[in-house]
Amino acid sequence: MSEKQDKHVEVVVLTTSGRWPSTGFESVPDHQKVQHVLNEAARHLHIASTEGWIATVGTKPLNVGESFEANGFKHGEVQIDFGPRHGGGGNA
Amino acid sequence: MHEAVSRHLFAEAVKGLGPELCAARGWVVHVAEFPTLELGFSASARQSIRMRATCNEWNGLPPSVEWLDNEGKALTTIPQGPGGQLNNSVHPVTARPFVCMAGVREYHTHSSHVDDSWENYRERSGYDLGGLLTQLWRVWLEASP
Repeated sequence: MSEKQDKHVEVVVLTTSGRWPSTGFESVPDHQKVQHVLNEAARHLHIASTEGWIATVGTKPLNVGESFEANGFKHGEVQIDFGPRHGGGGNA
Repeated sequence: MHEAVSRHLFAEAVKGLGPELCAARGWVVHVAEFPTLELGFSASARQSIRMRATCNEWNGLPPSVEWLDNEGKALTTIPQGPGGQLNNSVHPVTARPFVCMAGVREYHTHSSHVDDSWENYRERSGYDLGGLLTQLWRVWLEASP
């Protein structure tokens, strides 16, 4: 009987407060929720609040409550851009 | 705002604009000398643009934002997006098109919004300098190409 091995993705989170990890990539099981990684990035980068932020890979927004696998990433490198949404227009 | 504090906050914000982030977002840092931060934005199938944020008194005051062409000349009309943040009417203070969005000086100094103080935003998530640049970039990405 073969034991199922965790598959991993290699993740970097880019923000205007810096990158996490500071060099290279963080190896993360593909069943890990994206939000968990974003929380780790925010903690390491001393970002007090990420309320209302969005995470994207290229132009694709991530469902951060789902796993990397559910977001279509089962292996390889994943570069996440993490930052605030824009505010609304003031209609002046 | 003491200028030394503004300079420090500005320098810390510029440190966050690393080459990897800029490459991923299509940003080019043209000027990063206090109080001026000038970024080029480019994206696939879009006409590139420059944005100048003047950050004197940061973060006692929000940045003043101006849109420029690729040679650094101020635009007289700016691309229009669905959210109404990019406003081609003449701003009563600058007499230029402006960004009508909280966190930008021209919003808070416009007669329509003087009651909505920068103080309501400056400690909020996404209203540090890097966060505001990100917001402005997203506004541009949604605007007409």
